[in-house]
Amino acid sequence: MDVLHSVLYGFSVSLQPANLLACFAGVVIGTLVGVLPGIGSVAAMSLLFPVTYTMSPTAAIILMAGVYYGAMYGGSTTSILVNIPGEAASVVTCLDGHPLARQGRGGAALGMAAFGSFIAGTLGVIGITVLAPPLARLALRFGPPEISSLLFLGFTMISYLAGGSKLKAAAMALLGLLLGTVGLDPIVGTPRFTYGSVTLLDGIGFVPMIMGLFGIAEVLLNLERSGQPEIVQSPIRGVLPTRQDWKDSGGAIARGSVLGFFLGILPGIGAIVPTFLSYGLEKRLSKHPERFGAGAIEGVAGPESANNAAAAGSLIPLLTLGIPPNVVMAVLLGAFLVHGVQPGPLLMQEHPEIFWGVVTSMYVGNAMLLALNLPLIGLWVQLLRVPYHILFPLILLCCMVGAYSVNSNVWDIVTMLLFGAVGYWMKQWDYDPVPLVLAFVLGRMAEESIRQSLVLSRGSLGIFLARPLSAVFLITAALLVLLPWLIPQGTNLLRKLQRQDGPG
Amino acid sequence: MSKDTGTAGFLLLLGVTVSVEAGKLPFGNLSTPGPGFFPFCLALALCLVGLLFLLHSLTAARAGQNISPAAESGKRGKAVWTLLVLLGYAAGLEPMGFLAATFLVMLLLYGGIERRRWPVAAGGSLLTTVLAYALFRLLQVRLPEGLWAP
Repeated sequence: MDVLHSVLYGFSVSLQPANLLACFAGVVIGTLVGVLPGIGSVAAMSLLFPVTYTMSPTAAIILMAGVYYGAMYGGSTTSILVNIPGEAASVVTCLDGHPLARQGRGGAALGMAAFGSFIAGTLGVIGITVLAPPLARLALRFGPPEISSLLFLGFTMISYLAGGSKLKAAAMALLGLLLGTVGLDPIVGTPRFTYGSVTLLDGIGFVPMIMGLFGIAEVLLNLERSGQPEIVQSPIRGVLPTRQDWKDSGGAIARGSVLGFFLGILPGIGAIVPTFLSYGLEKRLSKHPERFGAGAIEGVAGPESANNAAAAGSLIPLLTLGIPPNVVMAVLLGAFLVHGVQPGPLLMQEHPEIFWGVVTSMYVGNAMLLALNLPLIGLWVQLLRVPYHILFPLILLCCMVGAYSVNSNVWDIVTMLLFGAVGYWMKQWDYDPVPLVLAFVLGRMAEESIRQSLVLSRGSLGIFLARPLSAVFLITAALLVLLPWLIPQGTNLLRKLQRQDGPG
Repeated sequence: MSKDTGTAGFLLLLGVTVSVEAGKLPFGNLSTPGPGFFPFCLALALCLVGLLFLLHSLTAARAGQNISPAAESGKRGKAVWTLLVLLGYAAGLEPMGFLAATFLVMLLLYGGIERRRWPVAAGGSLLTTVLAYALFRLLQVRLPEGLWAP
């Protein structure tokens, strides 16, 4: 009953005209960003930072969240029609979505992606409503040792789950933590690594950093790619899935939603991993796996459901613990802090209008997206035809003005361009910027909690193992680090034992 | 020397440099860690990771595994020139003001980088500048006035 009352209160907040408008603006911008190449949801959200300064905290967060899950919807459109994922989380949708479009069933693919996303998003919101309150109550029992260990587990998972080299990911995470130490010490206020610069006393700007790493770097990389993408020319007909489509996809949507939601909660996962896992699962479970890659509609429904459910799930650690599990949530954390609101276990008590308003706005936003995406598919297709040589200067201009307007300081533009160059080279040399950004955002919290823990224990490191929850987090982190070595060793041992037992 | 080896060396050097700089800050002790404690520990961890990475990359190089793709040099030039144009924009934004600086940078991007015909580039730049100015004013974003300041 208490939860129902809270949800109704949340709807009374999210349906206020200003918040409704913010939700609408967010999902439209998000869909646009998802459709257009060259700008992702992270860069778009960071560009919107200055715009949100005049808004209420609730409206600002609703707008930013709308951009995120709106981009998921938009990304599937380009995946299906152009075979180019508009968002990283829509990569897998290309595998079966584009073949469907080539077979003249683009409308059905787009429709199923939209419906699957809506159902998964709705289930995700229900999941948040159910899981978030008990998790917030549990988090109230966290002290500095638990927070330190949880963050250490988070960093380990981010490095472990990063694509490519784990060492590179660990190096990026350490670099992010170090960059986070520039500025004033969080406890005693001593300047660190500022070298007399007044600008650096505030630390390295988060908004210029992410705009550089994800906005400028992306544009620079796209400049190297030539040619305009080829769009499927056949008219988009029949966006409502058939009864057979629903029969084929129902299970995939349900499984993708559950998989995506729970994976989205974990640090370092994001929305991309659940889509791959969902695709793999559906192919494994299918009676006709040979259809996958040639236009299986469940190959679209499952991953699209998974990425939207993951978007909802990833809000849980941010809202209840104040810990962003991925870079998009890190941007959202920045938005909270800019408006003077600290997400975490006390958010529900101190700012219920923000917590429940944001959660219920996702339901409203999902409904808006379903209404927007299907009738406006023709418009999105036209937008895809805009040549990149017209788009990229506009994107760059928005980045430049966005960075400048944070503090009306030209050095923020320079910071952004520096990180743009860094991000460009990182992508060229196969380094993932996500661990760097997450570690940068969480570094301050990590340092404060570690130092507070040591003060509490009077210098004894045993405090991290003496507290049960903290010990669980640390042991899990240790297992994750040792797993790549333990699994082959375990398998070899098993084989030896089997050979010893042998036939007869 | 492969790119990974170079990067590993850079990380090692960075770790050593930061640990020296962090050593100049008050370190405190385990029961009352000072401002230098956390960055020093991070720098040591970075040195360790850098060393492991260096060993790994040297081993991989010996096995012939370090093949890094490179962008075509002509197209990488586009990225470099774009960055230089944007740096110029940053330098000229406050003295020249938003309108003049934006028109100039759009002209350079459309005409110089994308090699559109100059009249087309000029027209596009003017349109973009005016529309962008109107949009940012609507969004109440503060823009430098530069030459046009009263």
